[in-house]
Amino acid sequence: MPTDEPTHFLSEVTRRLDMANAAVDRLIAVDDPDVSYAATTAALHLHAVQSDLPTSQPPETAVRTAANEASPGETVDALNDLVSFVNDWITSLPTTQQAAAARVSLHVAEARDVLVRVSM
Amino acid sequence: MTTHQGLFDEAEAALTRAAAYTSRADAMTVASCDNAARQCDRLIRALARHLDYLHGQALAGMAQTEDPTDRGAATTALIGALRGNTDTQPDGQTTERQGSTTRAIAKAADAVRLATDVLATHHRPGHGGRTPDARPVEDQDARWAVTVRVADIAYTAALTRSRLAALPSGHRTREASDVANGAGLINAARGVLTTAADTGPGGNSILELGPFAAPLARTNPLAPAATALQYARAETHQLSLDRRLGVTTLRDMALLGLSIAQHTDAISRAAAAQTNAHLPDNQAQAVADILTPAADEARRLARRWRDLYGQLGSLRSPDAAQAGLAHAALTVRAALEAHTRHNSRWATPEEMHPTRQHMEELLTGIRAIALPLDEIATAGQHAVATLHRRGRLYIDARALPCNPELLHAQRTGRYVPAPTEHSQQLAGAWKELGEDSRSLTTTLAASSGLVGQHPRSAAAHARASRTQSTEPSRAEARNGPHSQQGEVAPGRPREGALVEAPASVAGEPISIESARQVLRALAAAADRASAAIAALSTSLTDAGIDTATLDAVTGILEAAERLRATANRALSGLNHRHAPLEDAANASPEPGAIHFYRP
Repeated sequence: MPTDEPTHFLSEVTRRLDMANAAVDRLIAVDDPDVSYAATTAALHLHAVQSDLPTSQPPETAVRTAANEASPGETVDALNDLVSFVNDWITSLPTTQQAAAARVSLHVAEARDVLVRVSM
Repeated sequence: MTTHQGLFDEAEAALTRAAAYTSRADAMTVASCDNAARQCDRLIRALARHLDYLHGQALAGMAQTEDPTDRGAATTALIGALRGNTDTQPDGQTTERQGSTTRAIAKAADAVRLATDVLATHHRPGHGGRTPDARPVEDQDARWAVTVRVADIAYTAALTRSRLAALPSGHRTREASDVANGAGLINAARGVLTTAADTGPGGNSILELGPFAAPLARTNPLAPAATALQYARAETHQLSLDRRLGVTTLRDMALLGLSIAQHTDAISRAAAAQTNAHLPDNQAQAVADILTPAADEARRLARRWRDLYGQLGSLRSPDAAQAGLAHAALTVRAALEAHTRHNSRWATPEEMHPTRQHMEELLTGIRAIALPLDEIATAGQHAVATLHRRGRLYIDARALPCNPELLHAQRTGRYVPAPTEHSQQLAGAWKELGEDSRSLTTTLAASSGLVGQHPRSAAAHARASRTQSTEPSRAEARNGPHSQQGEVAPGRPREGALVEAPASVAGEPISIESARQVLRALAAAADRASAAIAALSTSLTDAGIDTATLDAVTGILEAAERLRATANRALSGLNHRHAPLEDAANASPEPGAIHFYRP
């Protein structure tokens, strides 16, 4: 569990979102049409959360540590982890900022759910 | 769909009726005259606002420019005269139950105000367009066409007000009217119409605009998707205008394109499989032969959108993420999925198209939804070029070939400015996607005459502009006296030959172009008949003819107006439904009854 410092949480959320995005992007490119389709939905959900994050990182420092061989199941695990992480982050935020963070959590959960359906 | 032109036609028709009613002097009380004059002023205010809105800040530039055709000077004079007339009276309340004249003029004013609202959905004065359809509003030639229509209506409105003031019961109107301003407006409108006779009526692209709304009937199952797509178009357009289209948004655009292409594939392929179940034997194979290649084309296009999305993965730009397009794309997908997906799989053809009607509606819907694909691709192409030009396009150095100068960046995975050739290649990929998307919409259009309808398309817009810009202006086409004083506006020949309607030779098929000519001729003939009947009504009134005869003449006038409106609607409907297929037939001749679409 990271520190309860909100900015640290934010940095970690950004890093993990970036990982999730990269993993989902790989799924979009796979030949299985159902997996690819679900990953497209998941990618849009992940993109939808980005404007809810208070800051964005410049390209020079962006973290690019995505898994090389993500599968739908592994990506679901990563997204589950991200949902838990975001929920922890929400509790560390002032009440006025919790709504935006809650939207992040909802979208990540949506992205997870569409991938869960194809990986079952 | 209500268009700018349709609203102006409505205003003109209402004003023509009012002119006829006004000629029945004995039927108007003092209060009626007063109320009608107030509505005339309201109409003139609406016209002034319309031109102010349309020209906005460009007006100052026009006044200072040496325009050899004098269009700018004529426009400036008209706007000045309209503004001068709007200062004469405050907006007043009618003082008793409204008579026919007042109601007709009020309807004309309402139609002009609605036309301004139509423009407002696309355009903000001084700030440019707010939708991707707003480009015609920036076109000087198209603005001129609207100015000519405004002058046409303003001319009749000013004359009607003068006539009201001249009536025995118009003494209150006389007191309130500023005669000098009225004459100034007539002269200014005449100036515009004279200039139009010399320099042409301008392009029709603004007149063809309708409100920025989803191109599908509300009853279509895909209407929610089309509405969400309109939002996505507006969002993309706004981001593009504000130069805020970054790589993140480009990726969302690619996912939107991918989604639309995937659903086009699914709906077309399922429909091809269901043709035997829903269509007569003699149609089923022909429709399947169109839909199957369309589905294949959509599938290839989806792959290309997906590849493009992958290419964007190694790029970044320092632009804030814009979630609007991702939200809109999710909404479009959800609305489409309600008809195409079951749980986590594509619906079977039987599930997707349970009835013929449902199949036709989905095909009509997906044709409308696929139309903006090329627009999205073009926006992407320009955005890539802009990002590169502004030095805001970065690439993961590891995605580039080994380069000693980038060794450190390639080892550490840093981002470096994207090389020019890479940016050009990416912009080229967007451009090719635009071309392929246009090809897909053309292929889809080929089935529109057989199954479902084709939505209002860019091709139809272009066709309407092409065909109508070569026609004489309404002012030129109209002949005969236009007012009870027998004045004829310059540019309106008093006499002119009827447009000859090409009759189809017995046994030979009629073409779409000759059908257009017949409808245009009918509308023009009805237009001239309206003017002649209005003049007849005036003469009969002056001769003191009885009310029953005047009523009968007014009935003829209304019938002529209905004929003109119906002919125009039929022409519009013909273009709306058949122009895309005409394009397709002429672009790639296929066996079948395509001679109908030959010029």
